[in-house]
Amino acid sequence: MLLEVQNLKVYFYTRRGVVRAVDDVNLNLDKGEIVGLAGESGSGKSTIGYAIMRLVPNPGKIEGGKMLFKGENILDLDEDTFRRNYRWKKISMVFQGSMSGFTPVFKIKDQIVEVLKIHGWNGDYDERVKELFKMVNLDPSLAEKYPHELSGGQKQRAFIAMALALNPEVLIADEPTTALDVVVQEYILNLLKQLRKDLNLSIIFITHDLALLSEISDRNYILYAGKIMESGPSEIIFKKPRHPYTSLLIESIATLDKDIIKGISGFMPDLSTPPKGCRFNTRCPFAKDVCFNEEPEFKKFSDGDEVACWLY
Amino acid sequence: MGLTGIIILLILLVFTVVALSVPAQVYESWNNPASWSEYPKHVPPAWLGIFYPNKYFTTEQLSPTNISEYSPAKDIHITLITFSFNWTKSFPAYNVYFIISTNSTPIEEVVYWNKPDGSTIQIQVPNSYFNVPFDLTAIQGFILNYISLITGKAPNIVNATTLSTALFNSPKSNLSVTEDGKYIVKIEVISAKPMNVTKTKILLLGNSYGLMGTDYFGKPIDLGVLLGLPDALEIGALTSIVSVVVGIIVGGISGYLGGTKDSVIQWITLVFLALPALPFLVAVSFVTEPNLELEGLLISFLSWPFYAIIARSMALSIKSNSYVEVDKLLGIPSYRIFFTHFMPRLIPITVAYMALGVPAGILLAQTLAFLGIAPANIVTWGGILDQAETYQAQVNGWWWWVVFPGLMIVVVAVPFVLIGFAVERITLGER
Repeated sequence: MLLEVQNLKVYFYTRRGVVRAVDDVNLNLDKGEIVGLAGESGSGKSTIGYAIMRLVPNPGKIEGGKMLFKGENILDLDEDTFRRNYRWKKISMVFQGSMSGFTPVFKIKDQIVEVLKIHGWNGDYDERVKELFKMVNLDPSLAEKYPHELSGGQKQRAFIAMALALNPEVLIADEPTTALDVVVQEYILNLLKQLRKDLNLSIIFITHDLALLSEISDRNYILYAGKIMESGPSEIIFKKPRHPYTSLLIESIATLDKDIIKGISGFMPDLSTPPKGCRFNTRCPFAKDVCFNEEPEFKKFSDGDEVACWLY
Repeated sequence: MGLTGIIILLILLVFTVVALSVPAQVYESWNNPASWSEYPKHVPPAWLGIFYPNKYFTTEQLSPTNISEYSPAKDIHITLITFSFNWTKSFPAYNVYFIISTNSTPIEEVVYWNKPDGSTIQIQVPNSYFNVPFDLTAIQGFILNYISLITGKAPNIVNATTLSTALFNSPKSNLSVTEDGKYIVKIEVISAKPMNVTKTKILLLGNSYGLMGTDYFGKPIDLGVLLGLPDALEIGALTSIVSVVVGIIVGGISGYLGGTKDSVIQWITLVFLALPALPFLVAVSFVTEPNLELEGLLISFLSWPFYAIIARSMALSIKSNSYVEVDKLLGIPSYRIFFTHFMPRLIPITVAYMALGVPAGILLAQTLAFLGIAPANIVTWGGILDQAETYQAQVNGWWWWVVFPGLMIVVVAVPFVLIGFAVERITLGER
């Protein structure tokens, strides 16, 4: 196992109280695997991404759990060691806003070279930038341009190039395609798949778009209100989901042959006062008494699926 | 707009160079009234003569037309210096200034003042004025005698102008009408030894002077304004650079760090901001007797919080840009993000506020000078205004004494404000 996240807890200490944004999350990632992390807004999926980078924004704190990278708990390392040896070097990240992630006043190449320099890359910087740009199917001459001279898709690919600069083993892709049109989306997805194949890269793909996820992921984690509801291989999750939340989510995907799109009624609970029992109990059509009193345990199935639900 | 500002600034810099080429003793003699005795006192600017040709005229300097020497007896040597001039103005000169210096000690000096109608006034120069420049007030005894002889009464007010009427007005009109025509002034210097006249001239002082008039002591305001320029610019530039740089760095760090550290830095900033600037400066200046640099630093010490607060608000918005967050993701050390990706974004406002800060510094320095707190031996416009206030220029109607130094403070502020606005507009967009 390349990356194991065990019982991760991220709490936000706000004035209204402690928001348990990520509560007891387990997540595994194998070498060369694309793992999907899906859930609606506010479910804590991006927070998990930032927690893996150890950059939870204020006032959030990682309150517990382990994060084993090749067996070493990277949460135990001090900040400087982590920054030097892991952040961007072993684990890098691409996200929705990464198009605007380039400092506007520097050339793209200079910014990539800066990253290479800071992390002590051995070798020719110019060659490396060219190589990276070819890797993401960009004309290497674009590296000499300023960020505003590139289109959104180009910038996103240039950022992926920067994410790959130090040959990381894990790439966290946090909604990397959300701000792009569908054609470019498709392009980026294919690029990520290609990179996985070429570099044996492991990708955590964070999205709210299940349709998109079904195209790329090997395994998926469905997140609701800071907790994993269901996890399993793509064929199970998208074909015959077991958790009511997963099935409702999949039913809400818009396709051409659907006349009416069924949504999930209600809102996500306030995470500073999460409901007792299963966190989905406020919206679940199958909620029973036990759902309101006790938290469900994970149940494993022979097909690789794991579900936290009292129905099973 | 910025171009206009730059042009005005260049003109000011040219004047600064001119002012710096003025010899140091001029600066030192500024506060010494004796240095300015040859100038007419509190007279308006000369250009008023354009609008009132019959009312205002400027100083006329006379050189001797003839110097003759003879010795009527042993040990008596007489030098006769003759001046002549045509007076066509309908006013007497503002004052008359005699400069006679010889290489020996005279026994007697007599001035014969010949009017066009042929009458002569004979004036015995007192001993104490031998070889020293003197004006009509020095020899007023003789002139007052002459006046009472002609008019039968002594004048109520004795000043240079009333004394001058005796020399220029016709005795036939009871000294009320000025005589036009050719005046001949002979000065007889009697000495025991042969002598040489080293320097001699007569100044018929005008009732207007220069571009900006003169003050109570005869100091030309235009010279004062010129001499005040380099120091004003220096103190303005110094305070602006120091306070803006300190303010931007403190504010930038504060906004960048955020959280508790931000709160602490902001609290300190506000404490400084709350210090009442003027009383504080007055108190400290009295204790320290500052020089120009120290005064500049004191002003900066009080004005950096303004820039710190502006820089912090900018910093907070820069910090929320995703590229600053990304820099952390990239594993770039925090201090490096601050200097290479963060601070450069604050440079435009730094430049804009540096320009805008100059007039503020100048104004505060001039205010202090007006309150009588200024480094010694420098000329300040505030100091000139202070004297104008002391000698009640406003009551006496000496408007030029107040208007020009005051105007100059504004004129110096204008280019910096124009440049600052232009830079701000370029860097922060139209508003």
